[in-house]
Amino acid sequence: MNDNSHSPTKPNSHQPHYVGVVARFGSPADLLAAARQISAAGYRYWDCHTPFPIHGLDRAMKIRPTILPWLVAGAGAMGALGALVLQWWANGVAYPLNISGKPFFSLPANVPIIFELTVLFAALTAFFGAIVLNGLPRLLYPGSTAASFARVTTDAFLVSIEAKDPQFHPERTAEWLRNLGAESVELCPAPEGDTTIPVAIKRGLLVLAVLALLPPLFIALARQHTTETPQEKPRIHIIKDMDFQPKYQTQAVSPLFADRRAMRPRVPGTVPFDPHWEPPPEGFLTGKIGSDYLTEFPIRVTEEVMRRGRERYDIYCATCHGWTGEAGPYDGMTSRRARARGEATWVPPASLTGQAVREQPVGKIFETITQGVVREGVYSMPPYAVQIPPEDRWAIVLYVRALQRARAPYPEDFQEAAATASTAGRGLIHDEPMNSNLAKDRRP
Amino acid sequence: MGSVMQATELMDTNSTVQSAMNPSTTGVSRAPQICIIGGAIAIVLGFVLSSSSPAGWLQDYLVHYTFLVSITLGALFFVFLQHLTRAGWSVTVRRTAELMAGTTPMLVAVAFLPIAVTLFIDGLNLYPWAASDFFLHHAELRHKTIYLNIPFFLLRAAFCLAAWWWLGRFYMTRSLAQDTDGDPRWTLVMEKWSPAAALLFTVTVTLAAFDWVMSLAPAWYSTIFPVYIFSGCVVGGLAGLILILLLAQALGFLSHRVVTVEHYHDLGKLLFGFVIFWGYIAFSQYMLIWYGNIPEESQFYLPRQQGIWLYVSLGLVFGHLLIPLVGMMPRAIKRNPWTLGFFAVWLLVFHWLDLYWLIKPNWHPTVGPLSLIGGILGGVGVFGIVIAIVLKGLTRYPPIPVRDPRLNEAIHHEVV
Repeated sequence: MNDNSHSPTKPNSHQPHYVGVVARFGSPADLLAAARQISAAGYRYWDCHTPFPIHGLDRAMKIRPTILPWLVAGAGAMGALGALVLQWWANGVAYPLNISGKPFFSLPANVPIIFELTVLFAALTAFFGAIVLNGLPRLLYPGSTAASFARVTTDAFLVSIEAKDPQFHPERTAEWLRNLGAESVELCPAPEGDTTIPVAIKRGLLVLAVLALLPPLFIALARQHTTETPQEKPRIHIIKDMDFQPKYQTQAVSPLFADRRAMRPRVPGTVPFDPHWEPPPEGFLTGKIGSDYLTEFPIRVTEEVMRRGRERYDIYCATCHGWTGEAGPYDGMTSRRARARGEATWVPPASLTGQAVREQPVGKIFETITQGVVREGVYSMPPYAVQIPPEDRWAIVLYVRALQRARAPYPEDFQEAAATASTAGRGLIHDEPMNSNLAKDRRP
Repeated sequence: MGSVMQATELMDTNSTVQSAMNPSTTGVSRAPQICIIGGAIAIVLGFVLSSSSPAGWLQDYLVHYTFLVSITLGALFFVFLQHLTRAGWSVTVRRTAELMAGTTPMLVAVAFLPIAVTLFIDGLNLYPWAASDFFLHHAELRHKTIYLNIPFFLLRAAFCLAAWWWLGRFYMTRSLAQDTDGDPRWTLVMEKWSPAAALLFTVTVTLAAFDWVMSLAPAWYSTIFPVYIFSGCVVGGLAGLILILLLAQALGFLSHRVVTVEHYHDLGKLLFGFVIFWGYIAFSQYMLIWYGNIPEESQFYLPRQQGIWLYVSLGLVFGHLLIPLVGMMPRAIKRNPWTLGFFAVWLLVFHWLDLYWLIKPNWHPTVGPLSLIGGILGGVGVFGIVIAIVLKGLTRYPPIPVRDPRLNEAIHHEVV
């Protein structure tokens, strides 16, 4: 920054100290001609200043192409490669996660990130590279103390030669510029007074630096106090969203009412009203009456319910239990994948058509869907009460019964199948209407 | 800028325009004829090589037809884009683009007739939905009969063709009118109508992309498809414009003083940008379909990932995107007529292949090398005819808009 400290103008050190010379030319054409002469004379630290871009000035000044494009290209390639390696390592190696059955490392999913990081790296390199290569920030340019510099953004065509140029000599260079056709030539003296940064600014920056340390300090403190897991609240709650709303929580206290209850009791003399509501059959919600499991369906069993059950089963159950409910090779995609990857914590699904589940009453199967299966304190099958409403759970139970009966038919089923085969000339048909006997639970 | 300099520039412009008006015409006059005869021979030879059945010829014909339309539309886009942005640099290359977009509409309209006529011939028509019994067997698509029926299809086609005809003629005739009376108001008129032209262009390209290409597979749909077609149009139009400009200068139809390396550099940058745009859109379409993995969407890519089509698909990824992306990036490549010309030819070939890849797998799970070579030959022939039409126009009309108010800016254009 402090240009008067290292001037190479040794021979004239006893004279007034100059940081450069500024020459003003009358027209862009004159400036172009002068620029050709100056570059031909071998000057290195010089520049032209114009109010607008002048065609041909780059060539006249013999400005070599910048290396910035190569830096940008290199940074872009680095961004692309970095994004690729990052995603390969994160998705394919460190934390493989099954996302809709796609390969862990799959190029199409990675392309957007590769593209974005390429653009980001290239853009940042272009931006900061241009700043650095231009020698910015430069608060004091040697020519800017000249009087003619004030008009450089309106109508002045200037050339400045810096004193650090080896060929610079105050009088000789000025005279030479005059001979090139300059309208005026000014020698720029070194700026007077102290050019160092004022103490006030230094102190201000120091205060800012200390203040900037506060946010990370708060974050560190917040982490310190909440290291126990699991956490009820996020460690640092920056964005509140809808987490804290001006409303009463259940059982909360309210100063508005005399009894201080936020939840208000029913107004005396009124009754809750829903024309469609009727009490569900006993055991409809739990699958049992008292401690006895239901052995018959608490709903009307129709073909429509069976279809509904099949649809819901295929959506919720088949991903693990498979389309047929048989354990082993016919498991669903999730189970097969978990076994193929040797997941240590994976509990293979139970066979729905095996003896054990066949012998369960319908209420027990319903309860299993509702509550899940806990083994050694961990859910080996999660509860589905949240996802599946009770009537759908019963429909699934019905369909499971159908799957079981398809696997282990009753003797009369064979007679029926034989009768169908002889009349229609076909074998067992998958989509035949369901035998209404199925509605009854006929465990042996 | 100093008045002295401006005056010298204007004098310089006048002498440049004079030289541009009287191009050296030795051996020039026969070039269009040679192009048109050579083009016709290439097309016939291409048809002979590629197929031996009328259905196969018709399929190739559709590829060539969309190729012709896309180059015309790319040029039209370039023309109204210059007015939309009030561009000064492009004035000297605009006439060539105006001719590309303004003298071809009749050819584009007439060449649609075989496609329209064969719609009524079961067994020969290109579009499955036009077969009389199609919707009997495809009950799940029956709701599309509102849109996919022959009268409405022809109505939309007529609308598109009329719109392109009108747009192409609009810009050419007004630009030519300015040549005679020098009234700067023509420029204002063309600028004023360019937003409307952009809207009309968008609607018609969307309709044409849906109707002529996407409806070849009536069950498949992709909402980004018209954008994909549009990006290909601009790549084809710009590559075609660059190639025709280079040829016109090499053959003496256009002065070297009016279209300089600076114009080629900017055209090359535009082309480079739209190559990336094409890749961006193509991948956007692919990734959503790949991620969703829904049968009615992925049925488009499935046949294109099998057999020889897999290699054509990969060829497009490299030839239409990655190789030009790296190859056209350096400044020097775009400023050298030979390297820029090479990439113009390269991208025209791959733009044709892109259309071939969109259209042909609808019938053919595989394609033989002879058929592909025949197809490319036909594409070369189509472009030969475009060259002939434009070169003819360059001799009939002033090869640059000689009295455009921004002509001076264009002649002294420099990429800083």
